[in-house]
Amino acid sequence: MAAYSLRTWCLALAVALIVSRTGKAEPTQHDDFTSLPLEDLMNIEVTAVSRSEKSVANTPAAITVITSEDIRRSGATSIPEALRLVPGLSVARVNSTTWAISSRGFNGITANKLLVMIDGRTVYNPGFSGTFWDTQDVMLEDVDRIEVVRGPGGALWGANAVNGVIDVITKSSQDTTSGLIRGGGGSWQPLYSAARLGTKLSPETTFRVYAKGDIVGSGPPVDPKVTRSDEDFNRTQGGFRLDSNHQNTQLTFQGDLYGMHEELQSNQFTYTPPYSQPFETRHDMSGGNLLARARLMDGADSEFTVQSYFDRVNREFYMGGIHVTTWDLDAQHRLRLNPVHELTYGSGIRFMSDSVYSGSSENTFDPNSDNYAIGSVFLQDQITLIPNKLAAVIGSKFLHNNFSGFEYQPSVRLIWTPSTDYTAWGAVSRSVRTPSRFDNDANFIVGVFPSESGAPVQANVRGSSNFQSEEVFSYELGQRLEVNDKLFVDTAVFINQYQNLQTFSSAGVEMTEVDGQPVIRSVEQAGNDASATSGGFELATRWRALDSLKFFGTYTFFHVNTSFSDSVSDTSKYYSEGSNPKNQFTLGSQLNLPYDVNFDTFLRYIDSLSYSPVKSYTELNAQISKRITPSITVSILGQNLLHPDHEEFATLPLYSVETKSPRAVLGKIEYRF
Amino acid sequence: MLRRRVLIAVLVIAALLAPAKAESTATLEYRVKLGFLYNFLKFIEWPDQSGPYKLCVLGESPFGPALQQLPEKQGSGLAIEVREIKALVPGRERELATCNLLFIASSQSDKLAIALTTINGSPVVTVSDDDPAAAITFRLIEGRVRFSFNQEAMKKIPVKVSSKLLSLAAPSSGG
Repeated sequence: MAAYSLRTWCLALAVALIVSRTGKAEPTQHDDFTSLPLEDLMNIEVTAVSRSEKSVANTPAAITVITSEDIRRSGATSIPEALRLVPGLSVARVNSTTWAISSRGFNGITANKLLVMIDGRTVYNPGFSGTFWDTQDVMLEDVDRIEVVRGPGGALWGANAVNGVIDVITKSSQDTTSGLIRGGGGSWQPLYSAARLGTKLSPETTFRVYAKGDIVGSGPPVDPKVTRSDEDFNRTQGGFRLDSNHQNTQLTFQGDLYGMHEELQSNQFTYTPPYSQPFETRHDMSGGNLLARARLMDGADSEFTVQSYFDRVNREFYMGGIHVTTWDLDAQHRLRLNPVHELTYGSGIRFMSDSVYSGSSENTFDPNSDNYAIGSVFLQDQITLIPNKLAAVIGSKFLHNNFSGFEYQPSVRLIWTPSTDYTAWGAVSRSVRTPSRFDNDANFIVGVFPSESGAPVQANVRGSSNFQSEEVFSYELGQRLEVNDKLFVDTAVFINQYQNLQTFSSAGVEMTEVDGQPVIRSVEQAGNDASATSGGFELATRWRALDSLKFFGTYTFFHVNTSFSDSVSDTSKYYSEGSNPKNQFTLGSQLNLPYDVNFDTFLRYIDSLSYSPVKSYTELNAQISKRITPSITVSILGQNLLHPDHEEFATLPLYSVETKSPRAVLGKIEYRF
Repeated sequence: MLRRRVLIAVLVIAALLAPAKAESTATLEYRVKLGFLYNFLKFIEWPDQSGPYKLCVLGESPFGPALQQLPEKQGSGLAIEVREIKALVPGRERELATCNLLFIASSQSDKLAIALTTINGSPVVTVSDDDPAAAITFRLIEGRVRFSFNQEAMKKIPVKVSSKLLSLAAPSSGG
């Protein structure tokens, strides 16, 4: 190294690269594709930007598509892990199965400004307007893509898409007419298994059925008072999908059933010092859904889709339980009227019914059960101003719900494509997060604290029927650039202005009794007494350096300023703003080596979180896989390799206990037939 | 000193970004499609086939040097002859009828209709990137190469397609 300076090496490398590119053909083991079997040929990605990404390149929104290949090469074993690939999202693990995921700030376990769907079925929980990620699972090998829109999706997707929309789209059964068995296990996840069987029932109709089973262990606890950190979480799920494709019509019918059981240590409030003690408890969750969809196409100019689904969720834990039943019906029509106007319009109705019961605690909603409906219509016009160069999209969703009545969510967007390689877009939108059952009807005890008078203070959080929708105005700009089909750069900036953010303010003090002991109840009531301005920058880039080597990276910057009115209690401020990192950075690589070996890495840096003791951390996952026969692939995944463990999210000690994410290894074997 | 470092960095980046010159290699997409053409020859049965299989390309070949190297490269025993027909001049039509597989490059896509009438009845399987009138059409789905059969056209060609190839084909319309 000393004999030749770094400078000389760099120069030599540059010259060598230039010569090799302009001289003989690039030597890769895949120079001769005639030696590959057809199935392998069909798996090679020939563009840096996938077709679905190319089609979203014309979308005037900050949209990222995670392809099935990205998921496979990232080593993700759950949807949240796959979401780490997206800029602008905060993905933080609270414990082995609980996640805090949000888009553009406001992160918390019940992050409520993000709409999450699986195959167009909403999976957020209306009790909290948040998503319980432990019960949102699919067989990852059968995910076609995950589409993430950061920014307001109110105009098309409706309420609670204030900061983003995630849609996990599974493969049509047409693409899975074969069998797959995957078995795996490791130090952190003792069982990671799934099997799927697909078949063609007729030339037009295909069908698949799947089952999966997981056992997840726990990392070390964050709280030193917690003695047992074994969190035995096991989950079983199964489902089916049927697709029928005729000349102009596509029909889909699908359903899933799941059950899960978790044993863990949680925290319980006591009315004697230290006022909180860990205790053993269980969670039981189960549920199922059925969905039917029909799509009718009349040439390229008209596409009509109608969809209906039924969803049932049961969650039981020591605090009580919640059962939610949802029935949804919606229809939409995309119609090109003439070369200038393409209209999309639709309407939907959703009926929800929930019942909550309190267990050993007094936490509940008041009333215990409720039925409510949301009806909506939306209309959007895509106007071609200069053919192939400039278009505007103007639209709005109008909805009516039981809690806040009538809401409107308009959006105006402009998209400029001066060439096939470059797109710039801008958008101004208004979106709302409608009140949840929690905002309206909560009656929760969130903590017990000592007071000078000797009687303990019970912090009681209550909803309010006066709670209004949170509102945001969003101003966004973005661009996408493709260079030589090898390098792809996608950036977005935004400024959001929030009004009526959820807050809790002191609403007085009552004297009460618990087990004969006098207790001071401090009531905090939900209100809308905060406003905020946030801004950020998101960058995503992909680079195909060689046919066999790809890099991809993201950078996210986020900042928020919140102003609270005086009545808002200090302890509740973080609820309104959430815990967010200022900077996030990811870098991944995918390398195809000879002898059917793949080597993939994924590095992430997450800044320290606001309102939280969680420090910044850097972690690395790496995976090696090898196809040992045409049907069998084995892989070994190393997770969190850089440190023995690390903490990603801290919350009030309420419903779950934080555990750290440990360094772990997972082995997998996959058999396709 | 700094300027030289910047210059080196620029050279390295330029080297990696610069598209490879045309004669050195074709794009990944077309190298993969050539692999597909080879597999079509493998999994389609032509009646009374004697002598090597003829793979013809009509128009500007997008396959690069790999196309002419095909007869020597493949090792599984298929004898292949490659013929590049740059343009459809009168008199050469009969040559088309002797092809087993005829790939029609986009430069000649307007000639597809003429070519199809010329070879009508002969066991020539036409392949195209974008014209659904061809017997087999390539498509890119999610960045991957797929192919689909034109059922009507295939019925008129006296060849037998293996069930393996049929099962891997993408649906031909809609979807």
